[in-house]
Amino acid sequence: MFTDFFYVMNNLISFWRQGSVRSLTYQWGFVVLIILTIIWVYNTASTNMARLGLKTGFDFLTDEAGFPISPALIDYSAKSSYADAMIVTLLNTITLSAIAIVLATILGFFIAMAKLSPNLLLRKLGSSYVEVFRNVPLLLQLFFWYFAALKMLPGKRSSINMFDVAFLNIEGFFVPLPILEGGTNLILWAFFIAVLISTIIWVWAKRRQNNTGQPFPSLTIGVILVTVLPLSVAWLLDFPISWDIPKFGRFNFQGGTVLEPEFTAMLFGLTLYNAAFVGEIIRAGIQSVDKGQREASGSIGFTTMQTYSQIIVPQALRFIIPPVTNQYLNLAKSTALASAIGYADFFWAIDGAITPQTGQVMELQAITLCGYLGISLFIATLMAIYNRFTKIPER
Amino acid sequence: MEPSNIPFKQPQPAPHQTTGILGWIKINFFSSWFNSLITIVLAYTIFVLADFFIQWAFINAVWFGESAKACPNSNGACWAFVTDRWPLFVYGLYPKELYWRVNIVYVLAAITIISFLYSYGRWTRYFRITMVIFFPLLAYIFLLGDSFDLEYVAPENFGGLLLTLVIASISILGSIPLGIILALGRTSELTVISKVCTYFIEFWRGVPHIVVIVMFVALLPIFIPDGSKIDVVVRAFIAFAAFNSAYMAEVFRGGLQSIPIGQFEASRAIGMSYWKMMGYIILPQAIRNSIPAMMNTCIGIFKETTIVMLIGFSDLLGIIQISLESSDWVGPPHIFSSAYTFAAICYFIFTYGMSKYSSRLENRSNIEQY
Repeated sequence: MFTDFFYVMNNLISFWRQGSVRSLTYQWGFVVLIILTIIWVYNTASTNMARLGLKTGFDFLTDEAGFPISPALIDYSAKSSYADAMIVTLLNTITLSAIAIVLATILGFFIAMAKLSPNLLLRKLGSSYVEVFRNVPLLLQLFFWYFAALKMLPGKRSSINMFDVAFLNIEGFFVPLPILEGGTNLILWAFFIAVLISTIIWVWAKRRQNNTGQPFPSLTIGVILVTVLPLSVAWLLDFPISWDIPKFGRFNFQGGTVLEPEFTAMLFGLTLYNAAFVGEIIRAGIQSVDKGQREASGSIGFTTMQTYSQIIVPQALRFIIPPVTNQYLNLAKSTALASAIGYADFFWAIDGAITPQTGQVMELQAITLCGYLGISLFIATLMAIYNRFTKIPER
Repeated sequence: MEPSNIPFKQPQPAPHQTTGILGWIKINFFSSWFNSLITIVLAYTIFVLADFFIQWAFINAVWFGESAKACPNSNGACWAFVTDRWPLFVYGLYPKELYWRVNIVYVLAAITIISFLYSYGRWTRYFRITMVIFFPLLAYIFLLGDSFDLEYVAPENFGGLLLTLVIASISILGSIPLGIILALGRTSELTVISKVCTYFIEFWRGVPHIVVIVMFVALLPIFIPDGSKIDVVVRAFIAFAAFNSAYMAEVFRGGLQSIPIGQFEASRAIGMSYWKMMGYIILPQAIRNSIPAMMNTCIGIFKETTIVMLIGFSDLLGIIQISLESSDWVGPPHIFSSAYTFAAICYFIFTYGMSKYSSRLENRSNIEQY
């Protein structure tokens, strides 16, 4: 009787001691725990929602929004639906992030150059810029640009005149707007064809260089193609683009378009803040390339340009891209702070306008999360594709 | 042949253009015509800017006053705004007669920070551990009260720098253990647990913080029985802990991945269980390796606390914004710029201090001194 018991216990213990059995038990236990939690949360949520009398469902999306959205890239009026309002503001968010990413990268590049310069003054200037803009909260910087700096601009009648084409005043930045006439499509087509041809040349040149070692100036030829081909088409068509230049009429500016102070403040804040981070990343990336690489390329007779384009940058890029991707994601996420200064971005529309009107918190929060996760996923995918190009193929 | 017969060249001094103060100046400022140009242009610009700043911040500044009328001229800073509202910025709406309690907490915090800056022999370690354990307890007792005959002060009355510091320290202290657990989960060999942790981390990292905070404040009461009884301040804390633990988890995952696989294999080979291996061998090294990155995350958390003002809290930035819009001080934009400069200096002192501390830790060659 006892021997039987011990026999069974021993078997059970050795069964339990098998790694696979234990890990399966833990994992199934975890799954069950999560499912139970979800059921519990769902139950409490439905009881609470019934008690509070909240509406559910996505029917409200087709209702009339009834509020204006000031920078609207596509057709939108107060009569449009909530869904339209979301799309318009999502486009605003995407535009803002895209422009800020490009500007922050360019400025960050110059900061990195300054920090790597042989001039001590320039180096110190670069590092003080980084320290100041990196260590002050973004929201504070946005407030500074919006409430302090842009509010100090002169009024409409005494706006700052930039070569008679652009005007800066307290109501925004009035800039010319291109008017596209007939034949613009042809120019666009010429541009795309030029890009296509240069890509083909680039692929061919790369393959030839890999096989035979013969270099080919594909970058120069590509740049020339992309600029000359559309320009010559435009010349043949007698330049069908004209500019609609803003002019001060009796009370207001006529023509052109206006970058509102909200947008300008967001752009300033996001660009200057993130450029500090991007600059540090680029600097670290360039410094991560071993000194010997630079010396070696110098000793086989490369010029400085060649050293940078062939040796340093390709290696630095592998170091730079992952953290820079992170920074781009941060930038795109921090556009949500726009609601603090009243720029019509996605979160402003949902949190400031649609939620108070419809009261459907749950659905709206889900839509917000999906929108921002979508943007993050999009940027991450783009950067992953780019990363694949810069990676050294492992043998 | 005797080597001494060879006529050796005597060692020459370095060319005088590269040594001494003149050489240093030449290398750093005038190494080429282009560099000289940059130096001259920059020096002039810096001179003009510094002159403007000194004029603005000191010479033309107004230091004392009671309302926006005290600062009529826009060419000088309006520090009167700061001096007039100083207690509000430092203590928030904390009852005036109880300021001493906040002061005690500030002093304790300063002692704790200083205890981490300097080393003082064999008592260093014990003192640091004591402070880390007792400071949060004492801070809790003194700030909130309600025990030891101290009057209760509701968290709604916290504000200004006090609220900023409280939110920052709670988020940092809360997110570290959660982050370690999440990082262990993500690197776990159990597929389900690792997948769940990965999705959890990536979800919080993919959405804006302000969205998360608004979501928690609005939705937590729906998802938890009697959730509406949870204080708004506490909801914000939970939100902060949730997404910051995701960021911390990534930091610790980096630390875990920096440990060579031999350490895992060796501890397994001497028969350690998973928890013993992690507790005694892996985590001590991993945490030490991730301290610099952790400090960066802490700086990020400190800066992120500003977003609580968007859900109606009066942290340092929030209370400055409220004061700027109050009837006494509402006025021309140059008061705003002085106020924001003051706020920026306050935040800068803390974040720059943290970043200097972290670079000091990084540079310290002897890792045992951590």
